[in-house]
Amino acid sequence: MREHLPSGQVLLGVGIGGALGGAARVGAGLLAASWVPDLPVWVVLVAVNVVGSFAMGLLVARGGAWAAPALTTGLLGGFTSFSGWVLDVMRLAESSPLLGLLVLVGVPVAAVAACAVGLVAGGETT
Amino acid sequence: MTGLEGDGGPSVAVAVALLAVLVLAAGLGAVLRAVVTARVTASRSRRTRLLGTAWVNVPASASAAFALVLQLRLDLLPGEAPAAVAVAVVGVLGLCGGLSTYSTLALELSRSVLERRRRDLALQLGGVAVGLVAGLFGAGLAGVVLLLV
Repeated sequence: MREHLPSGQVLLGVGIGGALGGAARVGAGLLAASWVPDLPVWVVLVAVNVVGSFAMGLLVARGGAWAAPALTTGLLGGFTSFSGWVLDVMRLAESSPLLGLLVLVGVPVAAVAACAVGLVAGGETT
Repeated sequence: MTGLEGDGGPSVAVAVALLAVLVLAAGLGAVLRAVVTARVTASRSRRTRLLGTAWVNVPASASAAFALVLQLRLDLLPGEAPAAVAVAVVGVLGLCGGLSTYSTLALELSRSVLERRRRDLALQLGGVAVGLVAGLFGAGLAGVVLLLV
């Protein structure tokens, strides 16, 4: 079973990458709030998830050292958030059901499209 | 009280301390995700491998919704709640944020789309749906806990 576990070095890189990714997500929210004070919080997370998905596709397609677990699993994995999206959908469903439905359907579609564009732009052929 | 409380909103020191907890928890969440992903990738079951990030996204959604509902209903706002409670809530939310991921999920889905693997895509979308239901379950569980306490 142990052979299926990543090495300590890889886990350390993923941990540091994840911490930086989480900080970047929080930082993006703070930065956006300072620029546009009335900007809804969910807009930032949508942008983070779509941009992060594009970067993930691009990095994985490029391969090599750029696709290191610290960058993909760690940094981009920590930068984007599924649970944040679920919470946004739940909150919006209460306050504005139509907007909640739009985020529910629109974010996965946009993120998958962005990731596919990243994969293709990075040169991955299917 | 603990001295971490502020007037109306968190002080700079409290905000920095909570941000540090959030970032450390996110890093820990990413490590847990890497461990789970490695085990899932090595699984002999194709269905297990296809579900991929659902194995971390589902519990993370349930836990995050549980923590957030408790935070909102009990007014456990950073800077106002006791330090231990604020750290616990921010820690759980940070851990869930680091544990769950959208970019890897998008990668799994986009590969199924690009390779036209419709059945795989349907299974993966099922994983996304379970993640949403898990969020509702976590929120509902928090509601029940609040009724009982």
